[in-house]
Amino acid sequence: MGSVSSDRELTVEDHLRLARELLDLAAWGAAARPDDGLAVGWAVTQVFYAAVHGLSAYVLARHGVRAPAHQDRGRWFAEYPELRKSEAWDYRGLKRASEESRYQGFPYTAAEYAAHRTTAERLVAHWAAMARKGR
Amino acid sequence: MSSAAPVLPSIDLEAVRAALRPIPGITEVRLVGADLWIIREGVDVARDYQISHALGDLVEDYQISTVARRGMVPDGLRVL
Repeated sequence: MGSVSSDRELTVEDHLRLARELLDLAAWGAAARPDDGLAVGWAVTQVFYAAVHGLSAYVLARHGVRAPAHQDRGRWFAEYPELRKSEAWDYRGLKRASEESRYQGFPYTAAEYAAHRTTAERLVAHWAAMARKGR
Repeated sequence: MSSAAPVLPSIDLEAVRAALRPIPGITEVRLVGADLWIIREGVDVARDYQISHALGDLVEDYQISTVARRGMVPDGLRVL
């Protein structure tokens, strides 16, 4: 795992790297403690943040825009019609699951994590491909 | 004498009811201020994504909880 420099803005490549690393980190945590609902719940949060970075990479690459807050990212789906509605609603479902873990300490099972991971991987792969085309 | 107009939510509650009614396992939908809360029996990942898709553009965002934790949901208007 690496890190990004703190003395500059994140680049498209930084976002894509963080997305990949968060997916790796989630896989490691969920595999290390598969019966620990809290650890698996944080893995759900990590795959959500992988999606956040995938989306951020695309919007930065295509539109040159950075989002200071989650609410702004949510609005990108309305502002940029090339982002499909089904992606918006999957992203929102993933966000809700992440918040249930973070704010309510909701214990997730390995199977539930795997389902959320599938969604996150699909979104990240799609937005990464769009980001590479968008530059 | 002035009378302040009530601030009404811009959410189409009839449409929300119609969208969520067919989904099994939703025990209550509550409007708390401008926030829509969905209370369901428990976590079911497929159903939870179904909820997000069913709500579509009817709301920008929503909150979600389980019956077991409904005590954390503030009082509001029961929508469903």
